[in-house]
Amino acid sequence: MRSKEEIVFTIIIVIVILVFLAIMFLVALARHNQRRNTLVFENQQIKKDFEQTLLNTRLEIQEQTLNHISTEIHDNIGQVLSLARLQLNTLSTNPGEKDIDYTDNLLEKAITDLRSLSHSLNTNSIKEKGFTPSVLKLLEQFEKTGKFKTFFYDEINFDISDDQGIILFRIIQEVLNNIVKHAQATEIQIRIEEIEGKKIISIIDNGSGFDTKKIESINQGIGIKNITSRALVIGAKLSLFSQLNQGTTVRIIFKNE
Amino acid sequence: MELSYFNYFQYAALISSLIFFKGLRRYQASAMIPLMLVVCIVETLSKILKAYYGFTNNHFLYNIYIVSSTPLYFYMFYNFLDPKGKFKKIYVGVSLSVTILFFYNLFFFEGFFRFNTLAIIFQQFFTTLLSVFLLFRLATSQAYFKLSSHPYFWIAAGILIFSMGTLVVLGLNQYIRINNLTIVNKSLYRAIMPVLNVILYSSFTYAFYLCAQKKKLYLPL
Repeated sequence: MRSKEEIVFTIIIVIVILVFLAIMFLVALARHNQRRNTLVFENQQIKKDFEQTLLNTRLEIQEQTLNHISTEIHDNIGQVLSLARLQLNTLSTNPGEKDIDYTDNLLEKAITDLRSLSHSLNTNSIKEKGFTPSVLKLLEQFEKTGKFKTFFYDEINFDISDDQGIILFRIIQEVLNNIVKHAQATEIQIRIEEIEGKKIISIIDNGSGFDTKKIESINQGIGIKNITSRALVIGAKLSLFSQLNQGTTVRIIFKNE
Repeated sequence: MELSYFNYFQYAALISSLIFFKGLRRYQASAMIPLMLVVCIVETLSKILKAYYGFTNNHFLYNIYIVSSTPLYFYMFYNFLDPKGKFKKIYVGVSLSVTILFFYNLFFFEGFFRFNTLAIIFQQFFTTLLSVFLLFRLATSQAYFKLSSHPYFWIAAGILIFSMGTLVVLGLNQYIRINNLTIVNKSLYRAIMPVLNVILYSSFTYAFYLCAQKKKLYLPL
């Protein structure tokens, strides 16, 4: 027979172990909760950053569109209409067929340009048309200036969500603007391909190129930083290859899915 | 009439549940008020009967506490867990069956004047199970909140620790009494139960205080 003290001791030990296990369980849950909170907070932060970038990008695209409209009205439609008006003023009482045809052609050009302008007014075009047609349209605008020859290759039927598409479109737009401003290029090429399971979008020009080591010290560095941070938001990374007089290649590399 | 120190913690829990009544209602924890009332009435009556009427056996009072607190616990956890579909049917079915069985046990099996050991063991078993389930739901929810800031955590944690301790003491209640098991000249039951009661009612009081905080946290609905 066990003594009473032994039984009391055993009971107390069992109670202490049970209570200790309960406390350990609670501590484990609290730690799990803390880890999950950190994860939830990080996810919220990423989502917030993404939404902020998306908003900024939309505003920039809108601004870009308005600038484009302003330029088109001033340099193109305005000029054509002024010319048409001048032509009408110089017409005699019995104008010849050639004069009427010329004025008619001017007015038709103005109408076509206005129609094209009204299409570009729609800032939701990326959502409505899709990413690839929007990029093609952008290249078409560059081609129309007569200063560039453009090429587009999509080997993988690239597909992207609307929100990510807007940010990616803005990155490409920014890179193309940089080519216009600084590269003195005559050819622009956009390639979409898959290499080793990674989707890659390359924007290649045949311009003057630059020393990538010096990029940090000049204003362009800020633009590159913006593009890089945008790429990160859509789960991609940016790489830049350039040499003096050898052109530039900007690559947007998506992580493996 | 002499009150034990843990009685003050029980009264504190009752008073705070009344003071923070609105907060308790907001967190669907209103069932805690009748539960605290039952606890305090049973404890006070037990002291009065012993002090003024010489009652040596107050088991019938604790048996009444067991059968009346069981449906209240089930109702409280029902509100906390908000069961749906099949789980809801099972929950209601088990709650009703257990309550009816406890009444049957009180009137026809263990009796009125013998401590209902079976009933208390089953009550502790079910409250432990439900507390663990509630804690899991809180810990695995997708909402952003600190577990220790949630009133449900402290209610469930208090019940869990209390149940772990009392399962042994109350389960062996008859054995402890018959064999007169003591520690530092006190019955084992009288030495351990007050400590566990202090833990339980302190966590309840803190939970009621948290209920009254303006910022409403995630409810596991």
